[in-house]
Parts: sequence; structure tokens; C-alpha cells
Amino acid sequence: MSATSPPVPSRWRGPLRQSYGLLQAFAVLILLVVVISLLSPRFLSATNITNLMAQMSVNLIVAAGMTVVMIGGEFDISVGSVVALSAAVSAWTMTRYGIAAGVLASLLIGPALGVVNGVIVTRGRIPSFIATLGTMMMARSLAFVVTGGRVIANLPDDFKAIGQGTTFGIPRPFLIALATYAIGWVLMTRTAFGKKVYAVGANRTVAMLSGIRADRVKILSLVIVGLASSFAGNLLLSRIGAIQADTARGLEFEVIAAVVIGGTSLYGGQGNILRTIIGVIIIALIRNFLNLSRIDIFWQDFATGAIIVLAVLLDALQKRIGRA
Amino acid sequence: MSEMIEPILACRDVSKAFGGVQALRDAAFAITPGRVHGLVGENGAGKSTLLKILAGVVLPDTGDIRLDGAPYAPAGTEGALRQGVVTVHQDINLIDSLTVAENVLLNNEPQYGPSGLLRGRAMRQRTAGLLAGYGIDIDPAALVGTLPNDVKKMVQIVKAVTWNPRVLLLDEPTSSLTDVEVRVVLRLIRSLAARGVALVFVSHYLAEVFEVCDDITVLRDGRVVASTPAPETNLALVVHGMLGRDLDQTARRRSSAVSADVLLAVRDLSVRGRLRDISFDLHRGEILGVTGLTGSGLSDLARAIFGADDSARASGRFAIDGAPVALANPHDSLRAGLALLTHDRLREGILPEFSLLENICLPILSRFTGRLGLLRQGGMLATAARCIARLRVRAPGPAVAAKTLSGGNQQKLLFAKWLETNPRIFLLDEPTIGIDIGSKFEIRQIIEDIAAAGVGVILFSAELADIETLCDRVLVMFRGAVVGAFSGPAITRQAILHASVSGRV
Repeated sequence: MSATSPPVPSRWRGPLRQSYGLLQAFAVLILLVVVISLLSPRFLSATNITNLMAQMSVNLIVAAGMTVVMIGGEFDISVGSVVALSAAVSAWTMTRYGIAAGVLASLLIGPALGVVNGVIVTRGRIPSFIATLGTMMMARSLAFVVTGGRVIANLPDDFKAIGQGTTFGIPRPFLIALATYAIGWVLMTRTAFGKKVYAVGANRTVAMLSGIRADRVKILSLVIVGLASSFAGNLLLSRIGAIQADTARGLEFEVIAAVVIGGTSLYGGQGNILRTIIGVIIIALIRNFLNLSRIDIFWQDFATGAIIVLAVLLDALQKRIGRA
Repeated sequence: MSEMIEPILACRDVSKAFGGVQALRDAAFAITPGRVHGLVGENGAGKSTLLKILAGVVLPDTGDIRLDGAPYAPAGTEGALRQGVVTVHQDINLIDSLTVAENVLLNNEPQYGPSGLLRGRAMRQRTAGLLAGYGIDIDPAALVGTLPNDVKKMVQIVKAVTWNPRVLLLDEPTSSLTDVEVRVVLRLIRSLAARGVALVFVSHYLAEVFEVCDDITVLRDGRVVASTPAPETNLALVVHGMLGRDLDQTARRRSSAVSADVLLAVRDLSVRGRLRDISFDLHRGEILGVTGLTGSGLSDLARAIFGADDSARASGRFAIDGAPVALANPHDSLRAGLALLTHDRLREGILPEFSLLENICLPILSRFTGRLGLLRQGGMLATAARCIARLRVRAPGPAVAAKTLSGGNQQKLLFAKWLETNPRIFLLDEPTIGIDIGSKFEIRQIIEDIAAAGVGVILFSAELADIETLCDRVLVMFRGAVVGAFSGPAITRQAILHASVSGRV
């Protein structure tokens, strides 16, 4: 092999490049905020900002889990259904046996489905996109079974206080979401598990030959996104105060888009969980802008779709230039 | 004799350099209709370059090539194809999900006028006719993916024949086949010659070359060193020609550190279609060489011992220090004290985007896991820095990405990574492949040091220079089986190459 690198690689090249990506994403975010606030004066109002924060917290939490899975080289498109099913089970149980029972029961759902997804993907050698497509439909169906197709409301006030309250004027769900990222960041950068996820996503063979049980790592990462989804389901339930089985449809693609916009490789092995926050905010801002400017609601998915394609294209272009 | 018939394709004074490497110097080569011409030489002798020039893939720097007496300078493979010079590549490049007929007539299909619709029955009939013509009994409607390797190889050759070749260039046509399959393909080659095609047969398998070829040309370091009709030469002469007279006599290391106790015992190891009944012992402090031609199963054996592939072994037992061990997967093997350095550094060795520290610490993460499951960064940094210094990896520090290192330094990085797992048995698969001479010597020194420290080393390598200078004992593999063992002064390049190419000691 001939040397493909400059003769004297700088000691700072690695870290610098990483923060360069982060800075770049941040710049896009700032630009977006400036443009939107110029176009739409109501954007910077306190009500709008706090609303925005509360609304994006569910996406934020699910996206944190999705980043782990995608760095490991897999996808989970069952997350939207798992959010709905968890919220439904939580509500059903809570109205009968109390808050603790509802929350605990629902927090088992995501991890359990994660194990199912993981075993199908690793033992059955089925692409995760397909395997989780199956569990997505099954979980959604179960959500309808649990709710009987009706809205479940009448939740305890103590439970609703978590999602509807504020601390220092900031919506609590948003603070909880940020705490999730603190945990996720430590998990991915400071633990053996995190290093293994990166290695398995980058090159499964190399990871296996290094003694890493790649299948376990993948199953565990799908359990983590399941737990994040169940947790997000409870938060959603608490914020809205009611649940119907159709909730969070299409959430999976919005979340995957956010992770990609946040710079995580579609092929695994590369990514930074903190950048996912920026990805989620960018998508939320654009939706918010479309709402504020009274653009026909039917155009919203079109805009989000276009942005996803644009982000992925830009990413691919940058990688090609970087290689040349 | 070939003098009686005019050659169809003849080259004179053909030279080609790639960068600073002179791949071919003043080569002369001629082939005749109805004859099979064997082209042999060690890796890097210039066989592939000559073949690529004839196939129109590479342009020669200088030289005169004539096809039927007229200057021949094909514009790419397409041009060569149109003039009747067809290549059968070493890899089986058929599409598994298509039928035999669809593969054979790919891009050459009978169609209904200009409509573009394919005539399915006509395709099958034409293919059936072609196959029957060579006495090959396969259903043209069978999916290629369901066929065994030798049949695939024949389909590939028949596909080449649909272009009506006058010259057929066969690059290692038997390297992926088993013994029985080889016979079938050699018969097909003879029947093509009987129809007046001029064939070039490039192969490492000298026994087969002598079996099928009418003429043999030997290349060494880009020069033609011999070109004669097959009956006028023999195996010993050809091996001698391939190696040359003046072998560099590198000093063999003295094997004083080898202990008498058996460290690893391998018994009856088989992998279906790849390895057959392999048994051997490895001693403490020993460097055991395992060599053979490319495709003889060196990597397969290394991977089978380590449990590297998901596919289960057919059979085999292992014992370390006399106690049976399973070695079912890499995780277990690492725990049992094995390490495997793979030959494909880029695809199965380094993680190019990851730092040196991350590459080194990957197998030993549990060692650094402290309270709350958090990794001790300081410990990892110190370990990585120590490794880099010990193996003299030339890098600015442990935080740079592995891809910024040269090939030789990446290889040293991998040695560092595996040595840090404290292996008792170190499996090295082609450890000096694709690295510069300087690094090669450093790596040989590292291997000697490892063995001197009491580690049992198995060196899987087709690089005879490494095998000859480093090993205490050498096993020679041929088509997935061990066919010879040499030790001490009996380890000579001639003896090893002879066993590798003939399958006999």
C-alpha cells in the first residue's frame, strides 16, 4: 500500500476535525434561527420557544437512542410504534393501578421489543430495516388493542405535572431530554460498550476478531433505543395528558433524519451523539417555521423530506471532497 | 513442433514499468493455434503484466506485438475481444442469480428484431448446443448459484468461447478448484486446443502446467528466462528457472529457544471445501511456518484455528498444554491466549478512522473498565503510548487516526495491538505483505523477539524469504491439505517451492 496521507499528520487533526463538524452544524443552526426570526417575528416569542422545547423533547430522547443504534450500523424504525404502545400501556395501567405501576410496566415494553428486534437481526441475519418494519406494525397494532381504539385520558395530576411543568422557566421534558444526552454522551465516549458500538458499526469483522461479541452489542443497542422510546412515550403521555393509538406515526423517519443531519454516518461507525441534538432542533425549527408562516400543513412532510435529502447529499459531497 | 506452424500472436522486446518498478523487460513470447502455452513464474515475475498487455488492459512501454502478422495494439479489452483475443479471469465472474444460458449469452443475447425482447428458448437452445459441443452436461436453465465451482469455471470458459476466440488467455483457471474439479477443466482446455484455439495457461500449479501444456515459458523479475516445448524441460528445471541461480542467502536464525513441550496441538482439522484433516503440534518459543501457493488454504487454516468465521468447522480438536479447548469463536480464542493477525490489513486489520489508542485498546477494553463502568482514559493513553514506543511505530501520538500511518507502521500498530493481549500463541497471516523492505526487516525482528519470549508463533506466509529465514519448522500446504514438513537445514526454498507447486515432497 502506498501512503495515502500527508507526511506529517498533525496531533490535532482528529479532534479538530470532529469539532469542525460540530461548529459547522452549529453555524447552520444559528443561520436558521436568524433567517426564521427575520421572516417570522413571532418566532422568538417566549411562548413559541418554550412550546418548541416541550414539543421536541420526545424526538430528542428517541433520537439519542437512535444515534447509538445507527453508530452500531443498524436502524430501528419501530420507535414511533413503541412510543405509542408504551404510552398506551402506561395510561391503561396507570388509570387502574397507579402511576408507578404504569411507568414501570411501560418501561419494559421497549427493551423487550429491542431484544426481539435484536435477535431477529443477529440470529436471523435479517436487515434491521426489515426486521423492525415488522415489529413496527405489530407494536402499532397492539397499541390499538390496548386502547380499544379510544382515547385514554383522566391521568393522575401528579403524573401530568412532570410533562407540563417548568423549572427555571424551561419546560421539564426538555431538561429531562438534555439529561438523557448527558448519559448518552458518557455511554458512547467513556464506556467500553460505547467503544464497542463504534467498532462494530465501523467494521464488524475487525470487532469480532478483537473478541467483541458483535451480536450482543447490536442487541443491547436495540434494547437501548427501545428503552429510550418507552421513556419518551411516558413523557409524551405526561405532557399531553391523554393518549390514542395513532400517536407518533412517522416519528421514526423524523428521528432518523435528525440523526443523519447531526452527522452520524448512514453506514455506521461514525457519529457524535451531541450533534444529534442539533439535528433534532433543525427539523423542529423548520416545522415550527412552516406552522408560523401558515404554509399549508400538507406541505410539511415535503419540506422535511427535501431537507433530509439535502443533508445526506451535502454529507456525501463533503466526504468525497475530503477524500480527494 | 511449434516451428511447423506460424504463431498467431507474437511479441518481441516488450517492456513495461509501473512507477519505478520494471514489471517486464524485453519479453519475447509467441503462441500457436492448437497449442496450450504455460506461463509460469513467482509472484511479481511479470505474468499478469504480460497477460494484461495481451488482453489490451495495459499498454506496453516499448515492444512489438503482432496478431496474424499485423501490428496488434488493442484499444482496451473491447478491442482485444473484437480481434478474437479473449480473457478468462481468475475470479469466477458470473451472476449467481441468473441461469447458465443468461450468463453465457450475457450482452450477446438473441433478440426479436429491434424490440429488445429476449428470445428465451433460442438462448437456451444455443447454450445447450455450446455445452454439448464440449461434452458438458448441465441444464442451461439452471441457476449458476446452485452449481459447484468446477461447473461454474466451465460455464465461464464456455462464455468466453461464445466470442469465437482465436486466442484464449486463462489466468489461474484452476486456483479455486479441488483436485477432481481440476481434471474436468483441464479436459475442456485440451478440447479447445483440438479445435485450433491458441491458449495461454497462467498457473502456479506446475504439475497441471506439465499435464496440459505443449509449451512452457518461465518468467523471473520481468524477464523470460526459458521458453521451450514442455517435453524438453522438467519440474526441477522450471523451479530452478523461477528462483534463479543466485538466491540471496539470508542468515537463518538459530532456534535455541524452542522448548520440547507441546503448547498447541491441532488434530484432524477440516473445513468443508477448504481444509482436509490437518494435524500438527506447536511448541513454546517455536516459529512454525505454514506455506503454500495462494489459494492453498493458508488463511483458511489460520482463521479456522482462531474460530474467525461464523461458519462452523467441519471437525477438529485443539489442546493447549495438553488440556482440550474449544476455540469456537474469537472471543474464546483470545481468552485461551491466541491472537490472529489477519493478512487483509485494510479490511480486517485496522479501523482507519479510529485513533491508534482505540485500535490498540479494542481487545482489552475490560482491563480499563473502572468504577461505574467508566473507562480509565489515563490507563488507555499510557498503554497505547508504551506500545507505540516499544514497536517503534512512527506516529505523532496515540490520538492520530490509524489511516494517517504508512502500511508498515499500520502493520506494527497491529502487532502492538495483539501483543498487548499477551498472547501465548500468535497466528500471523502474511505479516509482511504489502509493506516496504525496511519495515519488513523490522517486523521479522519483532517476530523473532516474540518467539524468544516463549510465545508459540505460527507464520502463515507464501513469502518464501520470510519462511526460510524465520522458521524452525515448515509445513507445506497444497489444496487444503498439509503435504510436507521440513525442519532445520532441510528448509530450503527449492524444497518448499517444489512441494508447494507439485503437492509432493
